[in-house]
Amino acid sequence: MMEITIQYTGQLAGITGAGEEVVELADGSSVASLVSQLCTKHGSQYADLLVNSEGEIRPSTLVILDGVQTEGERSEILLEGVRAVMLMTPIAGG
Amino acid sequence: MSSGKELTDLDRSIYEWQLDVPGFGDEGQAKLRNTTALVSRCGGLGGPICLSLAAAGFGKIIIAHAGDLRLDDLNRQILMRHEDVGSARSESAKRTLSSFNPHVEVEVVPENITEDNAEALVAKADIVFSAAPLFEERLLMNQECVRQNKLLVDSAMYNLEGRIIPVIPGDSACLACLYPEIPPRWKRRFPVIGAVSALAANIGAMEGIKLLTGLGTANANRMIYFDSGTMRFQTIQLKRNSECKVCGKRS
Repeated sequence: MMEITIQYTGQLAGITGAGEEVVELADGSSVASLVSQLCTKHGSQYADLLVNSEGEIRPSTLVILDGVQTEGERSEILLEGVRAVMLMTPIAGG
Repeated sequence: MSSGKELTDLDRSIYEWQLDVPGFGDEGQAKLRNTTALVSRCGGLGGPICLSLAAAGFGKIIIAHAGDLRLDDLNRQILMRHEDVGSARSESAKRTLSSFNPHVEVEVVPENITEDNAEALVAKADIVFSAAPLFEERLLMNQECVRQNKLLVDSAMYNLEGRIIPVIPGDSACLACLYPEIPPRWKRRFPVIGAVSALAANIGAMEGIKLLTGLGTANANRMIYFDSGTMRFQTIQLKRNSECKVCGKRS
């Protein structure tokens, strides 16, 4: 098993009521399995922000691994060695 | 950027304390004096941006913002005045800026950014500060800045958080690299304390000043993120999207 700190921003932080949480994942887990686990845990409002109706990560949701933005086929990225995942939903407040 | 205006004795008197900043000096001040900035909206974010640009001595500030001032704007829109409730926001902003620094030219456009005016407004500016509450406007500004090769600083906030993205077209990730579509779940109404808007605004203003003058280290290809609830600040490394519909073919 591996432990990863999930950092929440924007509306996600409001829904979870926390800025971050630590989750346990099976070795070899990917971003997709992490997101699936989190959506199951936090419910439909959380999931609706993070993924579309097909369960794919929304294009405008930023997934940041140890301070570096990911792009491309993000779901397939393996989390081996990653300490912190930041999930950032888009904000445009002024 | 025009290069015509030399610093006057009055300029040196007004900006004396910032002329002392190492790496800035007369050269940096002259660059700002000859810079026109377009600020998209002058509310909680755009207002403090305008104020800091005026304080820094930008040559000209163009403000694009439609609508009349409402009571519920006043917790964050610091260029406004209570007696102007019901009057045009852009005119209230102009009066405050002109009173604060009459040596900065202020042009107001009582319209928000649309497909009809974006091209012409961006063409008049050397740098654009994007502070609209809707992604439609932000992505439009980004598209025009990339197309016209203009510097862009996109600042945003939500609740106690802020994020700032400086964009050098063709060199760093643009807003559309990060947000390739209009985010469907973003709502026009957002929780806001004015000090958080002003914090994001002033980080954005400073990033713009750095991009223009070479002062310090500009954060192109990085997002500056802060959570004022914990006062945690961090920079996030961004990546250009080679498939980006706006900047993907620019090198």
